[in-house]
Amino acid sequence: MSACNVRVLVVLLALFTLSLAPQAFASSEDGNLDRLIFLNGRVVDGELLEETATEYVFRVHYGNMPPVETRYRKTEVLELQLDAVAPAEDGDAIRILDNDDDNDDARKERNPNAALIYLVELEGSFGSDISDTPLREMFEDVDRVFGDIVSQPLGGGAMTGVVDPAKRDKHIVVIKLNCEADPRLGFDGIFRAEQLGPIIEEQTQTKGRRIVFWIDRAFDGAAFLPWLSREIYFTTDGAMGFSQDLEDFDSGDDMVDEKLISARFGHAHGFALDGGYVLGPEIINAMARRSYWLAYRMVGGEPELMQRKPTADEQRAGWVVLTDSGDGEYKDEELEAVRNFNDRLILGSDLAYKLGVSKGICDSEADIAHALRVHRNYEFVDHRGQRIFEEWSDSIENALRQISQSQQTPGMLWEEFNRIRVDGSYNDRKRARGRQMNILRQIRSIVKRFEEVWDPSGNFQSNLSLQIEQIKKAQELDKAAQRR
Amino acid sequence: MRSLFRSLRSLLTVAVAMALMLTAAPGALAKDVVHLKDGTVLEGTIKREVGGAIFLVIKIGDLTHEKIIPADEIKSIERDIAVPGEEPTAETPVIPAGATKIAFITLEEMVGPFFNAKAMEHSVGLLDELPEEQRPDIIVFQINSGGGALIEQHRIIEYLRDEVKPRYRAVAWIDSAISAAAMSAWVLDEIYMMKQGNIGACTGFRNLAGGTEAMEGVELERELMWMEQVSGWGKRDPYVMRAMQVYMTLSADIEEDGDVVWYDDDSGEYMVSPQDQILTFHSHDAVKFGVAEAVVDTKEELARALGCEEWVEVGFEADEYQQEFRENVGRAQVKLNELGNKLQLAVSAAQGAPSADERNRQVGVARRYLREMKGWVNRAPSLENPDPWPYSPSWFRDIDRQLRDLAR
Repeated sequence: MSACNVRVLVVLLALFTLSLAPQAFASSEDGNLDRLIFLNGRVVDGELLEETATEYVFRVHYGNMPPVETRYRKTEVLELQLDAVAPAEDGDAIRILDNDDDNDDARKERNPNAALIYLVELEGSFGSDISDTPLREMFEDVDRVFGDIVSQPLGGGAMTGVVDPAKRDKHIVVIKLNCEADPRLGFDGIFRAEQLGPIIEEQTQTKGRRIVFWIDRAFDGAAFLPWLSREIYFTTDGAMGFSQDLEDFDSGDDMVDEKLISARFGHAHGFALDGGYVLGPEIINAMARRSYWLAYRMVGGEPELMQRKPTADEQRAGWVVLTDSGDGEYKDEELEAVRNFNDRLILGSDLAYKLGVSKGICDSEADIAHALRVHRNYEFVDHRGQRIFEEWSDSIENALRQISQSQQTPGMLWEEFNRIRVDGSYNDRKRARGRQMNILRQIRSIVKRFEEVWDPSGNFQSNLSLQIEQIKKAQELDKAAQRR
Repeated sequence: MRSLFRSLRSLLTVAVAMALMLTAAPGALAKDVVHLKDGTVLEGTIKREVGGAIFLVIKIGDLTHEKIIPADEIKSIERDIAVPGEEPTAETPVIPAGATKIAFITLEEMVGPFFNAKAMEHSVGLLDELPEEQRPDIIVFQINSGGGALIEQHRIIEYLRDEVKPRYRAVAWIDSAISAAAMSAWVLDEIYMMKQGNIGACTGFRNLAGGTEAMEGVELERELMWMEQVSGWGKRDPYVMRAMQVYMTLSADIEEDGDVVWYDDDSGEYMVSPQDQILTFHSHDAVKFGVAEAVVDTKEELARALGCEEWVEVGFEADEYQQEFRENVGRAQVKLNELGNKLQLAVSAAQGAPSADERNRQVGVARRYLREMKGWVNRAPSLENPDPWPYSPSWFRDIDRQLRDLAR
C-alpha cells in the first residue's frame, strides 16, 4: 500500500465498533446482558457465569474473537446489574471496521483542525531496506510536511526544536511494518534495532512526535522497534516474532551461551520497558526461547502472566497456556507445528491485544484513523516518505549488482576486476594494476555509502584498502626490478 | 538501549540545559550560530573543528560550556556574527548556595581500552583539582558497556573503593552494564537504572579457535571470591552476583518493609534465576529486588532520586576527557589495524625486494609505519598490552630489531 497519494475519502457509516473496551456479545437467557460497573467508572457488559466469594466470572466477547472468560475482583466492582443491557445496545469492541471507503461527505465536513496522518509502509529487509539513513530522512520529511516544529527555549538563548505541543495529538506518524531482518541473524537483529531505536526515541521522547506502529509482519530485528511506541496496532493477519530459537544458540560452551542469551534478553527487555510495556519482558522471553512456559488469564480486563506450567486447577480457573517448554512430550512435531506451533510465542493480532501489546486490529487506513480517535476529521497527507525508502532500496539493489561477492552472481565490478590480467610488458602490468586499484576504490566508495548496512565496523573497507596497498607494493617491486 | 544508544542530540540538549546552571569563561566579540538538523539553534564560539565536527563554546550571559557537535547533526553554521558591546570576562563560576554539585562521567564501550581505570583516575583527578566551591558532592558514573577485560575490572573496582568512595558520594547510573561493566559498578553503594537498563551476565570466558570456553578451576574460584568481597563493599548479597557469574538457583522473598531475603535454592517466593541460566536484571527487577535504588531516565529525575532539591551540574571537563579519550582510542584502533597491515606488506616487500636499495627503502617505509604505531599507542595508552603481546613495549622493540636485521 502506498501512502503517497492516499487521500482518504471515507465516512465511517457502518462501524461495528467504536472503542477499545470489550464488547458484550453473549447474553443471558432472556437475551439481555449483565453489567459490571467498576469503582473507576469503567463499565463491562457480558454474561455472568459464576460468582465466587471474591470474583465475578464473566463471558465477554472482544470483537470477532472467541468469547473470553474473564475474572473480575469484587473489590474493584461498584455494582453488578443483572439483565441490564440489550445485546445491541453497546457496540464497543476492539475491532475497528469501516465498510465504506468512498464517501466524500466526511472530507467535506472536515474542519481546519483535522488530524494529519503521515502513513508510511516499511517493506523489505529490516536493517537493509529499512535503515538509519532513510529513516532519518523520513523524519526530516515528516517535520517538513507537518510544519509543526517550534523552538523551545532552554533558557539563556539556547533553543531546541520540538513538535508544537498543541499539535502533538493531531500530527501522527503511522509506520506500517511489513518486514523482517535477515533470518540468519535471528534474535541478533536486536543489534540492528538498537541502532535504529534511538532515531525513534529521539522523535518520541525528545521531540514529542506521536508515532504509531501498525504491524502486518515484524520479525526478528523488526520485532523490537514497535515496543518503543505506546501505540501498536495489528492487521487481522498481523504477526510479530522471531524466526530462530535462542535455545539453539551455540558458542561452544553451554554456560557462555547462557551468559550471552541473558545479556541479549537484558537488551530486549529494555525495548519493552522503555515503551512502557511492563509485561513485555515475559512476553519477549516466550517469543525468543522455547524453554519458557507462558500462560495467561484475564483479571479485571487485564492480562496476568505466569511463567510456568499451570496446574489442572489453575487451567480450570482460567489460565490458558500460550507456550509450553517445547521439550520432550511438549516438543511440537513438524506437522503439528504447522497448525499449532506453541514452542515459542508468535504474537498474532488477537493475542497481542489480549496481552496488552496492541491497542486493536485495523485492516484499512480508515480503520487506523478511527482507532487513533480522530474519527471523521482526518487527512492522510502526501509525503515523500515512501519514495525515500523506495529510492534507498533501489540504491542498495543497484549497489549490490555492482559489488556483490556472491559466487553465483558476482557484482559487475568484481567481474571486471577478475577479468584484469596483470601480464605483458611493464607498462601493461602498470596499467592493469592501475585499473585494479581504480575498481577497488570504486567498490570501497560504494561500501562507504552503505556502510551502515554492510560494514558498520569498517572491516570490509579496511580489507579493500589493504588490497589496494598490496597492489601498490607489487607495483613498487616491479618498478624496482625494472631498474636493475 | 539505547543503550547503546541514546541520541547525541538529546545528550546535547540536556548538556546545554545543565550548562545554564554554571557560570564562567571567556566572552566573545563575535559569535557563531550553529543550526542543527533537528531545528536546535546553538550560539557560541567555534573553538576548533575536526573532520566536520565542531567544538563549540556556548556562552549564555556569564555562563560558558564547551560541547562537541558531530558533523552529521549540523545543518548550517553562520560564522562570526557580530555582537556589539560584548567584552571578554574573567572566569567567575558561581554555584547557588546550598545546591548539591553533581558531576557526570560517562563510561562506555569495552572495559579495558575504553572503560578504563587510568582514564577514570584522570577524570576524577580533574574534579579533585577544581576549586572547592566547584568540586562535586556527588559523582555519577553513567555506564553503557557490554563488558570487556576482567583484569581491568579489578583495577576499576580498587580505584573506586580506595580513592573515590572515601571522598565522594559515588553513584552508578546504568544504561547497560553487562559482564565486567556490571562487576565494576557492583562496588558502588548506589545503583540507579535507566528505563531500558540492564545489569548482569558476568560469566568469565575466553574465545578459542573452536568457540568459547567459560572460566573454570582456580581462576574461576578466585573471581568468585573477589566478587563476594566486592558485593560486601557494595553492600549487596553475594548470591546475586554469583548467579550472574555461574549456574546457581537463586530465589528471593520480599519482606513487608521491602527488604529482600535471598536463597541459593528455590525456597523463596520469587524464582529470580533458575539453575540452568545466568542472571541479568532489567531495570524493573533490579529495583524490585533491591539491586538498584530506582528507575530514572533524566538527570533531573536522578537528582531528585538522590535527594537533591536544588542541584547543579559541575565538572564538565571530567566527562569531556572521557569522550576525547574514547574518541582517541577508537581512532587509534582503526589506525593501528591499518598500519599493522601496511607494516606487514612493507616487510614482505622488503623480503622479496629485487635489490638492496629497494629492500632498504621498504624497510624504511616499515619503520615509519612502526613509529606511527608507537605514536598512536602513546595517544591511546589503554591499547598498550602487557609484554610480549602486540603493542607492548617489548613487541615494538622486537619488531624494530627485526627490521634492523632485515636491512643489513
